[in-house]
Amino acid sequence: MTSKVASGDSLPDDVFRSQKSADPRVIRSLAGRTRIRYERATGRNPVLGEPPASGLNPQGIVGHDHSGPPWGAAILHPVAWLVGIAPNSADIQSGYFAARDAIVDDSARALGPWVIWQRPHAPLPSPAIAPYSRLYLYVRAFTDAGTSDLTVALRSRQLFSAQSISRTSTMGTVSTTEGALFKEDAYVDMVPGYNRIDLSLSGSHASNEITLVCAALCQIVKLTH
Amino acid sequence: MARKVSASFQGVSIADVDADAPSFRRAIEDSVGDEAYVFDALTGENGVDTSKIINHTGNVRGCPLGVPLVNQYFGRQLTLSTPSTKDTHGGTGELVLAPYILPLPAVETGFMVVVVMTDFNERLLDEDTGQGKVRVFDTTMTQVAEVPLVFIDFDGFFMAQALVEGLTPNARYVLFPILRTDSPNLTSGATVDLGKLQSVTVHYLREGSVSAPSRNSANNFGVWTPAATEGLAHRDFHTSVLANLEAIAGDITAGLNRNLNSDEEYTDAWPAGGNLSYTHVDHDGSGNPDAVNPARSRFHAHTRSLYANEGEVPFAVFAASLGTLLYLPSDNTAKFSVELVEPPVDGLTTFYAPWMKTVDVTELMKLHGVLPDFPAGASSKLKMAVFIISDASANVDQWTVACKTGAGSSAGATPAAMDASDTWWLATDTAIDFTPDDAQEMTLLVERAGSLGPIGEAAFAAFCLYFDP
Repeated sequence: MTSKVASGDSLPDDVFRSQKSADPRVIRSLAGRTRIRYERATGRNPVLGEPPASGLNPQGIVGHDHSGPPWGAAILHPVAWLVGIAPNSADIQSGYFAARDAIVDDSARALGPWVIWQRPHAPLPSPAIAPYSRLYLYVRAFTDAGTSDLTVALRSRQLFSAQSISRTSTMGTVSTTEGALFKEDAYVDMVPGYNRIDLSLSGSHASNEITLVCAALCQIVKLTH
Repeated sequence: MARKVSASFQGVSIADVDADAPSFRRAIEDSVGDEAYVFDALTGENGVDTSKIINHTGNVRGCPLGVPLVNQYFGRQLTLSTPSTKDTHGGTGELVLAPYILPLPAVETGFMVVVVMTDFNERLLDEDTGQGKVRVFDTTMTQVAEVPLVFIDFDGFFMAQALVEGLTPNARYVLFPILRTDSPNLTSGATVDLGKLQSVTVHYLREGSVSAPSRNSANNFGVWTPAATEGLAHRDFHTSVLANLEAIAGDITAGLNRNLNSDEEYTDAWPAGGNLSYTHVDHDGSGNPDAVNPARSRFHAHTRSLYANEGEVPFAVFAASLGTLLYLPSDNTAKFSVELVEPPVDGLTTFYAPWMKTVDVTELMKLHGVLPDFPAGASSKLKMAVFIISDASANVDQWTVACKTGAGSSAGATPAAMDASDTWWLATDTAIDFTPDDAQEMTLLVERAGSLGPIGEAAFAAFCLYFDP
């Protein structure tokens, strides 16, 4: 197959208000960008024997993959999870629940090392923050009596790396009624590939014990944080 | 009206756009047709053949998404109490650390399994190979893969990897990461600390390197700006207009230019040409910005909020293992990893596939997190699969499993035997309603008809939630 036009700079509107429409550079731009759009949409290089015009996405293949701009709007979903067996030992025979006991009281309880594989994604120019570069924590918890505030210390680092990023968030008040907690500052920074996550959970009350039912680290934005 | 659209990609020869080349009508005509193909494939509009609609199933239908299948944390100390006779419940056999039922989408033919443990007991490994293993089965419990699970001391913990390949895409599989408890190094009757199961990851092998996109200091490139109730305001061109084109008309080239810019912002979710700001924004149908389940999602994201025939994608939400079990390769059957008493005394008593002590509707497992902005209600493609083990001849089909989300509980499903052993069972529930684009609980509900059966009638070993159009 004859080589097809594979490149083209974007064109401003005023180009088309003059005599320039017939300029081959205009036609080259339109044709080249059409090929790029085809590849980005279909994930297929239409010209055998030539490299793709659109470049490779974060997965190293052709096409948009919804890993975040400019490779498509990101999709909201849980990326990592700690599922819970509901607190009902009278009805469920489970070593999982029986061994869990109270995760936290007024002394910190550590969860980790938690190795998470994060899908490849592209960085964004500042101040934009790529969707998959952060995962946000959702938990469900209850207390055995009264209330207690749940605080979580989150630490993340690329596997093998000595550099970690840490933050602490007081996610909210836990009561005897199981409920969900989410806080805008309870997130971990992520890089593509293997990440090591460590969480440390603690309660504010010396005797009201918190039980963590489940936890999820979720991707929560489509365009940018 | 005969709309100009290419049946397949035509492209423009580089000879036609040489600096000294005349401006050929065919260059414009083919570009217009190719762009129309792209628009139809992305949106499902204009009666496009369904074999071209983008749904990320490969070929011309979009690249695979590569979302990981499992990233589960356990933090479970594994203690084996008095392992007794081989091939009995709570006895010795191949210890399945964390069984999974996994939805493998189109295009994918394998995955990497990663197990992380601390305080690892090396006596668990095969006495000849010094390794564990991973077994993969199809939904008839026919083994389709067996690969070594190799542990190494790594960054303060033990990490094992196993690469599974050669699977058939677009199918569900049972995954068994295995250690061996019938090693001669384990003394029958002893209590053995096996270590702590920290996490399991299952992901695809793909890795690339991309740089950040550019951003200009102004909005230099025009994008169609439709009304709040409109789609993308795509400009169509009649075949006769292009066929009779004597001179290159700015009307056509300008229209094509804006179509391409709009396609770029729609598909890439990034301002066209690196414009300073977006032209499009997700909104409530009246033009007011709405980031959560917008009535008009103006970016290509398989929401069907803008175009009713937009492609729907296979998408794994999460897969969870609920406890260990024993696998007997001699007859391809399941055994419980604990003795069948309440509470269990022998076997892996700290982490085993749970069973019910009541017939009433019970919340067995839950997770709280966000779900995608995909069509819900009667159009939901959300499904659930539950993997169950039992004693043979058990009445597992008396149980019903369902999923509760922010939109309520699903209809429920009855387990069916996966093979003739009647020890492996699979239940699938479909069209599960949910609250799109929002956080909610995702809870496994279990109940039984009639009276409670004997201990060992059914233990719930694994769960997965996934979109499957």
